Amino acid sequence: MVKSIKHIILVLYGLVCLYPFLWMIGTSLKTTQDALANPQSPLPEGGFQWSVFGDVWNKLNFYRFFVNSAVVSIIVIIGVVIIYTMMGYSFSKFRYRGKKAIYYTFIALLLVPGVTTLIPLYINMTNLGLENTYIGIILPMINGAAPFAIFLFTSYFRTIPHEMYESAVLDGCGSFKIYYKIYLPLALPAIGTIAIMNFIGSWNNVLWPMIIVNDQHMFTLPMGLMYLDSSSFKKWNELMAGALITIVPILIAFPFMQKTYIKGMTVGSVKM
Amino acid sequence: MVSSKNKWVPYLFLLPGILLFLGVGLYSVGFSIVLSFYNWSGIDFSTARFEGLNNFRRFLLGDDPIVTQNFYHAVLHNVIIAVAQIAVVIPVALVLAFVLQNTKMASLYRTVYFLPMIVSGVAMFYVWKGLFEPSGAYNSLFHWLGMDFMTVPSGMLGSSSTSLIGIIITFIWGGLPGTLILYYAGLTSVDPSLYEAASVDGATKVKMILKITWPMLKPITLIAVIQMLNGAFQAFENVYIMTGGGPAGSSEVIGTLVYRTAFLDNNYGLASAIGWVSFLITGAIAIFSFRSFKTDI
Repeated sequence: MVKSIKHIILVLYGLVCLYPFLWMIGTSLKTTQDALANPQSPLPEGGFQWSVFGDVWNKLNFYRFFVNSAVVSIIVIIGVVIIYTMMGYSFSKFRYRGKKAIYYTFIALLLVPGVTTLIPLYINMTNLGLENTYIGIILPMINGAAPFAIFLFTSYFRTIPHEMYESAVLDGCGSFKIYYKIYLPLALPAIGTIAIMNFIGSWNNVLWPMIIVNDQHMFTLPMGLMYLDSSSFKKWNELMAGALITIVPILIAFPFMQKTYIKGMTVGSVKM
Repeated sequence: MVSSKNKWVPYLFLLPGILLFLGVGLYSVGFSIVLSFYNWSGIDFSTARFEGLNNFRRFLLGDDPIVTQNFYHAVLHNVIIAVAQIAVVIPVALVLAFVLQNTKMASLYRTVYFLPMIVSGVAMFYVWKGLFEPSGAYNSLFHWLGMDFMTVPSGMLGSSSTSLIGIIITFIWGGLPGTLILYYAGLTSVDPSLYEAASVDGATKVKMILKITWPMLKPITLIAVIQMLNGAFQAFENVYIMTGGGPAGSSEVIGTLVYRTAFLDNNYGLASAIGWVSFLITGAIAIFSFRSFKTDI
């Protein structure tokens, strides 16, 4: 009895989680008329309209949006990992003046809500001539990742035994060589966590791209969706096909990255 | 911990991050503080007028009644979203985490449950918009259940009395998995031998929950609450996409208000001032979360 109640709860919540996805898939396979006339049913009337995907893909140059999103996300990950592992290494391994002040300045960035600095950031980046460029989209995203990445890398590097550092120094290794020959490889789990969190974050981010980009060639996927929505006659089937294209990469990658992602979520609050 | 022979070495490792921070982060923070004291429409800063505290008086003290009303409504909406989300998510996540524990196929359930969290973004906000349409799934479901009093003929997001509820539902849907993960991880990290030892000592189940489980879950609850508070006060994307703050300002939040004031009304000074007041509000909340980022550096 208790057991079946348990399973009813679990299945019900599973449906709550899944239904929006089922609806998205179903609607993307409808004709425009069917989507408007029977919006509640996830199943299309009169067969699946596979052509919707092709239409959307070509109509708005979704291929280009896809590439833009991918380029932005990948460079953000690489930048975040390189820049902040270096900082974490410096914070965790060396004694020097001003270290605490610098560390806490970066962590304090967490306190500033993104929307507060949006305007000056926009002015700043346009003054540098970076509107409608990858660099303009990417730099603020990397900077925004600083607090959490620095925190995680610093605390992770502290767990690496100091003896490893000392023996490497005895073998004649310089600080930089120690960083990339010993610390980087050992930090792979933490790097994975940060990479995945930032992939999801930058892939889903729309506020900043929306402000710094107005050229359709530089649209990211979420911006493409908003553009699809802006026509006066709402084509739910096309909108949902676009939405599906947007989330597919995350859906495919998720089973592989689930564990690492959860580790990152629970860091600091749960000792695993 | 080492003092390097060459004392510039540790600074060299900080250099790229600091340069980026100076060029992007610090500049923006500093400039936005300056801006909040100016009246500026955004084209050339030489046209900006220094106004002292005027911007703040406009929306805080009623110098401009409409802006003041918009601001306080927006803050209220942020508070409502935060409170409603926390009130629903904490107990539901707790129950689900308990139920999910020791279940067969827990990993399958977990994968399904975590989906909303990772894909939550523009794509899903459009899905919710569709589900909340007048003849969409939400209304159909309650009509089918015979609960017509729950339906909203003009659509959840189309009526000023329900638009905020629609926003809150998406917050709960997207926010539940994160808290569920925290609780689930917390529960599974309790050493089972603690329970065994307690039952040998003759402890009741209630006592075990109070003395073993709850002390473990208390800090997790605090962190979950702080995360949701932060998230609710930084709300922007789902509101912007699903309602744009409407109808008639019924779902306006600080984020959309700042965005609108800056980029649609071209009032950059006022928008910055509103942004900084919201910073003070979220800052107070974030100081708590700040404490969880302490590392012995």
